[in-house]
Amino acid sequence: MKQTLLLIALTLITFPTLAQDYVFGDVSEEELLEKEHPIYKDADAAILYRSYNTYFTYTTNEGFLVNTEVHERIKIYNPDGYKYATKSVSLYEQDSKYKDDLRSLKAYTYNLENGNISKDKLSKDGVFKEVQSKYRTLTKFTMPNLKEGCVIEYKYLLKTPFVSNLDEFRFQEQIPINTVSSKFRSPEYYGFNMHQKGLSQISIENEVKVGRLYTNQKTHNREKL
Amino acid sequence: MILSASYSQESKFTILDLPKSLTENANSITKSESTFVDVSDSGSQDVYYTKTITILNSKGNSDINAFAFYDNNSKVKKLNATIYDALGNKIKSFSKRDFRDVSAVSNGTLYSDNRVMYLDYTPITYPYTVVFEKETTSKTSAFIERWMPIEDYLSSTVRSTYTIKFNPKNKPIFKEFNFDGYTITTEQKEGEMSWKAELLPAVKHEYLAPNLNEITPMLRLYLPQFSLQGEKGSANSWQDFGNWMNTNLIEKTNDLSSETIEAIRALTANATTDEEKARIVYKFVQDKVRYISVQIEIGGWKPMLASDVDKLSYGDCKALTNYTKSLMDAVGLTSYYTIIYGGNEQTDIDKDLVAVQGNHVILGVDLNEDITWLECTSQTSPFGYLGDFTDNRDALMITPNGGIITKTKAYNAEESTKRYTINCDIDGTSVKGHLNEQSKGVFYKEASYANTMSQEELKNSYLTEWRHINGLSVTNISLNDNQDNITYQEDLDFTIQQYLSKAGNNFILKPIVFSNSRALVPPRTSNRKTPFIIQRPKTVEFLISYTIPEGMTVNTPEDTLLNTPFGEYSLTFSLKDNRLSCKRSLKITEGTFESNQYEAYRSFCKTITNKDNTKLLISTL
Repeated sequence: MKQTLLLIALTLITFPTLAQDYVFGDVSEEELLEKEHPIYKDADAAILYRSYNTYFTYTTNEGFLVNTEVHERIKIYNPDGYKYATKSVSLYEQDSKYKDDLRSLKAYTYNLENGNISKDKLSKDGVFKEVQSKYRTLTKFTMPNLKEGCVIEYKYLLKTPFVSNLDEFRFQEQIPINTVSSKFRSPEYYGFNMHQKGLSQISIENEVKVGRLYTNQKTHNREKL
Repeated sequence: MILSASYSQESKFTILDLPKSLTENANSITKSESTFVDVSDSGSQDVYYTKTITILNSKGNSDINAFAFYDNNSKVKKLNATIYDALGNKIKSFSKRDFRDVSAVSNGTLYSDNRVMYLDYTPITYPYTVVFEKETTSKTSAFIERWMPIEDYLSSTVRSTYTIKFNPKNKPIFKEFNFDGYTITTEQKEGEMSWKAELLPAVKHEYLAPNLNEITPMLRLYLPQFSLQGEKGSANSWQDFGNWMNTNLIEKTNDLSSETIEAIRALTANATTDEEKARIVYKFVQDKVRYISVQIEIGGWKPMLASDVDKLSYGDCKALTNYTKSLMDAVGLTSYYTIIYGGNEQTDIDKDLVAVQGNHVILGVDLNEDITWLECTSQTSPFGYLGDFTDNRDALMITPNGGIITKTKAYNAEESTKRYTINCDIDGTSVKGHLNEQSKGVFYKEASYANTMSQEELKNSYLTEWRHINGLSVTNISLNDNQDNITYQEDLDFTIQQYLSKAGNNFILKPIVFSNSRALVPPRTSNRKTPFIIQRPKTVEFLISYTIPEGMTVNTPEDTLLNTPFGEYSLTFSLKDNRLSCKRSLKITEGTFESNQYEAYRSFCKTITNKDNTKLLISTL
């Protein structure tokens, strides 16, 4: 396999978090046992963990693509929180080649049954693609086997060629978010401006590092930093 | 070519040529409309439709209705539109690919395969004319394109025709609605029937009027042998139809695993009566599932497998009803999958038209020969409660012996009650007291939304509800949802600053506090044409008492008793020691009333408002 190694400067923007690492699938008994949010007792659900990891890849066919790994773990305290187990991701399509792409969706519902953690996988036929119009598709899914106190977790990879029109990172919702971790890396060649909105200003680390960007004609390899 | 030729013929109809009866109240005029339906093969339905409509002003834009629905089992074969200006010059033409093609997933549905292509045209001048043509083909002949020569309010029609071609061995059954008073001719020959309506004036919407399709002509047709999303069916009677549904759509989806059957049997093992068992099953379903609607192809009519609902813990009305039915079966209770039109308006399944009808499914549980209705899509609805979504209407119950048309529960004026019990003290010009609001019957559902509100939201909702009372504050709100006898109680303490007005040494009090009957008075309509409907009997009562401050007294006015075809109103006062008691009761009678009674109804409502605003003089002894 012919591989080219480019050494380039990368801009790295991170929103540092103090919390522990959240490994996909590592749902704990404590999380399942929690009856109400420790601070916001009224919350119907809470996002235990949300992470965005954005990086660029380059292929000779497609040029630069922006990849965002999304990982989210949600605790549902009561049936009013069930609505947070239905997710809809909007994807833009300019034409059949130049379009957003959602891949590698993995999702599970975790329940505590007689002291054991049980998990239910979101099956393929539970994922729907609604072609809203020529330009917009919604990928929709709802989690199986929800019970009071369950935890749901999903992750997916969003690939987009629309380098100049990136989705926002959302740090606040109508339900509490316990931990957000986000990382945005781009080649320095691109100059991105950052805008923050909302009541709480979040401190963001910004640095320039030398990184490597692997390119490959066949596969989309991610760069290593 | 054919189209433009037919247009030039139409263009003889300039606005000036039209009789005044068609331009009056009209924002648009359908100059000609023709629907041609071919169901000669019962497995499919081809529809060819053309329409020429002139839009007179911007309010008529929504009357163009240039769209075509389709799904996985139907196709839009032809679609185009041409726009002409007032003089008949072509402004713009749209071919099929110029129409917007979007998903038609309705609100509250996660996914369905329904799609629609629609014309997105921004007019540059008025009036303008649209010539629209579409051709569709579908594997569903269970619903035949209906005919409504008046499709919208404030839109008139010069000429509309409908033709259906069929196999003489499979002649459609049809029903004509509201043809009286219109010029409609019909023609029948071997394998073809047609209708023609001419010169239909525009209809104006009037307050409390029946739906447009209940007052203007409509034709509905169904085939005895039909196809539903490719699934063949036939029915000559409701019994037949029920058997077909049972065999083809429902029966095979009842496939609970033996573990689930054992689990539900274990749960109900100690129940002593059938009702107790049914209550346990219903509670089990409510705790387990949630409503998620997915409608794909025949899945729009066929429930999801009960075993899938068990696994996924979600489903739509069909799936959840069928799942509950499977569980009822497992514990030895008889219950029936029942098809109905859900909605605030009480729409019946039309007895005369044996066919696929309805938009919702509920479960009828047979408890000692008496049907108890269960809404299986709600996680909070009490056992046996229908409310205003499915009450008092004909529904189709699917039994092992076929379909049976049956009426769901109706709430009478004694069952649907709202009662306010208010005890207050007068303190200077302020009033302080306690209010208890009790809601039953159709009032229960709306009141029980309070369960989902936080204290803050609740407080705001009261202040909004009673915004006509200046200086109101509420505290100590408590709620009591009694699901066993389906009664909702709200209790609160209140203060109204400066409620009394001072007149010298005396005070003026409006005793019927919290009543907002001004909102009841219907708007004035001159020269009303349509009948009006008062939906659902109900009773609203206020029982209010005041402690009259020491050294003061009040003269109680005469009692009021009004008795009208629309309802009964009574207002009585009594004074005992220093306690003034007021009882105000309004019992509303349901019915459809002739347009000439509208003024009498208005005056009844106005009298209620006047009486509710009775002022009393509290004078110093």
